[in-house]
Amino acid sequence: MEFAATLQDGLRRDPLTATTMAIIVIICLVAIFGPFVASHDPLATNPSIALKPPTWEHPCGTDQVGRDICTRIVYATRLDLFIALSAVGLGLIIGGLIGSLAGFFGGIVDRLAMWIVDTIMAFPLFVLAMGIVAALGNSLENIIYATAIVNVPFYARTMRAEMKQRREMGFVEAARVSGNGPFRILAVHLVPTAVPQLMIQATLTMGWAMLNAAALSFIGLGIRPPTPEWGIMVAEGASFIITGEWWVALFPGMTLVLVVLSLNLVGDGLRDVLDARERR
Amino acid sequence: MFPLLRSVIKRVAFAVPTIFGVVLVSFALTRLLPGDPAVYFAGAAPTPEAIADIRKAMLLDRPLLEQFVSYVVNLLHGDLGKSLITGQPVVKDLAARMPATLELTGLSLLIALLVSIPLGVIGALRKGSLIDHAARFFSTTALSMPSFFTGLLLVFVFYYLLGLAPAPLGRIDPLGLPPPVKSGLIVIDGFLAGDYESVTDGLAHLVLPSIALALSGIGPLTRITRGAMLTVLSSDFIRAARSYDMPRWRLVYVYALRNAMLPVLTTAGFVFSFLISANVVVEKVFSWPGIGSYALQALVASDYAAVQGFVLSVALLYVLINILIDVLYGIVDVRVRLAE
Repeated sequence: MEFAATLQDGLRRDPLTATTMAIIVIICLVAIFGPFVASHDPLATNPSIALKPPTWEHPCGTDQVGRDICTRIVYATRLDLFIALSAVGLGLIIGGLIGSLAGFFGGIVDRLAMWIVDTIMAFPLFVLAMGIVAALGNSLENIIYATAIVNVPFYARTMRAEMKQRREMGFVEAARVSGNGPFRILAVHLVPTAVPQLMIQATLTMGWAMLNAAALSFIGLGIRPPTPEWGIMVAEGASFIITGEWWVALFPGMTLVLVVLSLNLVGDGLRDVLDARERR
Repeated sequence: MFPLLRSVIKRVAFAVPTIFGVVLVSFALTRLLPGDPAVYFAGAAPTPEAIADIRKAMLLDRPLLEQFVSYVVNLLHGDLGKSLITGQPVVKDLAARMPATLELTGLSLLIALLVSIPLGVIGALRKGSLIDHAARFFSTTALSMPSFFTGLLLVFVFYYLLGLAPAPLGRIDPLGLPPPVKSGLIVIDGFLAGDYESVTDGLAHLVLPSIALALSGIGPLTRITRGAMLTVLSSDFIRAARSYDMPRWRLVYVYALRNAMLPVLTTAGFVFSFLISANVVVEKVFSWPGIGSYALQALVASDYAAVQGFVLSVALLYVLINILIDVLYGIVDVRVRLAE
């Protein structure tokens, strides 16, 4: 509750973070309810209106087979948010587990965990994700697994640092003396204290996870056309850029940038708020 | 020179567990393929003989450990398997396309450094000013732009609208004659051959893709420079120098900046991995004939040896760069040098 109060206080002083948070809420609402109010079918083709620039009827124009781009963006928002949320969630669970065990127990556990983390980090991460999807097979789940794996190092490191810093503190000793086992101390007393830091890390990496997943489908991995997804839509529009049909790639691309930018700004804002609290 | 050699050996030894991990992961990636890996490595329409050959070469009927040992032995001989699309050894293909990628990545790293260091320094010197906020917003925006989209935007504005840039179709004009290959970098080869038309043409083709790439590195580099400068500027030796009435430019650009460069150097290594990743999509947008577009062609054709060869060699390249940066760090930082 104390965190919520500082957050509220911080947001009042930081209108940019508050605005971007509002944008994220709107985007989430679009992802959830958008498909119910969208006026067109995202897959319905109509060759007679192919590649038409934006009009009132089609605010973002139509693509090469006459589908309404605006509707497709709305449906894509749902899919892209789903991918990013599940990848980050899965990554948080795995990374949090590795990091907390490593930071709390130290020694050989720590060295093994850090070896895993360093090995993942030794790859350019998008390339590793590419290799994983190529090896596991081209599917939505595998995009999520690959994106989760390349995010694990960030959560594991954050969690490890938090655990290391706190494991010698008085409240841990107190819990130990009153007869709690190490796993209980970790799960009940230590891990919850790291939640704010982990949440900030999650917000900061969520945007990156989105870029990563969109880039994977941009190069033709994972989700396949005609499924509406931002990366695929930009890829489909790429060939029309040099002939001047800019709207096919621009609108889905701008949506992706807007969402990622908002997430990054919120992540930065939250970090500043938390840093300020710790300094006080 | 002797201590330098020793520190290089020490760093290489330090990287051994990571290299082992990288090789292990890339081995796993070639064996994870659902079903029979031999079928996958044989390509889209395999003959039974081809599958049998590959099964033999990959030792798929042998225990995993033996498979791994033979994989490592092959690697040590520089053998990453054969590409299905080109029929050439993967190593040879990658080596042939490497200069195009290095040219692009190198130039974009340079651009990223040239933009972010001044931005970070200004941000730190005028902390909280309008310029600082603008620089921070710019670097966050750069970080939020997928490079494939930035690339397309640049093509639209500078090729379609303004007609300033050449068509996004490779390294050199399709009708032009590339200079004789010496270094593999068109601009340098052009200079060597005295072929200045190739130099300007090569540069013109390089500008847009390297800017698209550089943007993905500007975010982290600007942040690190700003943070490092802030730390250094508030440190004791700068305060002392200030009290000696040293000229401000000298204080900032010689003493402070030099010390702030250390974290920037480390981040540059991380940014290199960013750039290599972004390289794959940028090469696709600009039809750049580097290793990234090679990997993408291989992906489409289910040419697994080529894809995994690309993943492994890029990871090894990155490990190498990190060793290099560590060594450089040791040379630049007196404290590290003294501690050894």
